[in-house]
Amino acid sequence: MACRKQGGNGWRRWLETLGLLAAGMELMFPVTTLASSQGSGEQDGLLMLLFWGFVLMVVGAQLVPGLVRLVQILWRFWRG
Amino acid sequence: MVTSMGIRNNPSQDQHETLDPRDPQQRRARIEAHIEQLRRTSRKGLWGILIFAVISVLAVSVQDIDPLQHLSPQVRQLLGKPPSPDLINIALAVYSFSALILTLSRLADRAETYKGWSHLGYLTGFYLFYFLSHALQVNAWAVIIAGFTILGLEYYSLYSYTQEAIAREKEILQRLQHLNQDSAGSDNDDRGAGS
Repeated sequence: MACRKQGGNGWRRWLETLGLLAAGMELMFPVTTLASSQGSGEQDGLLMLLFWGFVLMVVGAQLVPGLVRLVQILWRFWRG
Repeated sequence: MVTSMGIRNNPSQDQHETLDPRDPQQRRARIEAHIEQLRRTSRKGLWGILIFAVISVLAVSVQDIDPLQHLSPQVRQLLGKPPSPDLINIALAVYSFSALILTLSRLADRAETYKGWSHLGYLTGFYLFYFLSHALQVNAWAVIIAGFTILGLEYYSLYSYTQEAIAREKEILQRLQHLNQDSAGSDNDDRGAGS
């Protein structure tokens, strides 16, 4: 039972890490946009970078664990 | 522990030596201390709600101020344009959905963990971004409703856990009391039979 629980936590950790990686890749988009917008007038700046950092935190700490939890609940419900 | 020279060299070790886990008096004191700790833990949720209420009042009171108005053009250029209210709305919706799933699952699991402090940080962040994009006047209610729902559920989750734990501890206390009464009664019977 303990082994099974540990295994489940391992999978959850892996999924969370994958989600964080995906969120990190998502952050690359605004960073590259910011780099390309330099010198082309007032475009995205520090505020947008801060906002995307904030979104990354929400995705990594709330959305990914929330979705993992939801999948676990649905899986348990489906298996009865 | 007192050495042969009469010097007390380790008071904590000495304390451990006097602690007997089977001593009913010490056990009762430990349980009562745990109950008091659980009561303190359950009040944490109320503090979270109160701090969020204060932050919300502050946010609503400064919603008409333009924060970027008095900045120099260089600083404004460095800061760039603020995120659009639509983007912040999407982020708030995603955050609320995920936070509700996590909080409700903790409520179902009867977990002791309290995540209200991190939620306070996220909600303050949303206030800040709405404020910077001049959209706080329209969207403040969305953050207030989401915040009170999430923090209220966090409080309820912690409160229900601590109430259950306190009830369990009180039951153990009652059992200990009955055991003590029984053992005191049997001691008296033995003495009566001996005399």
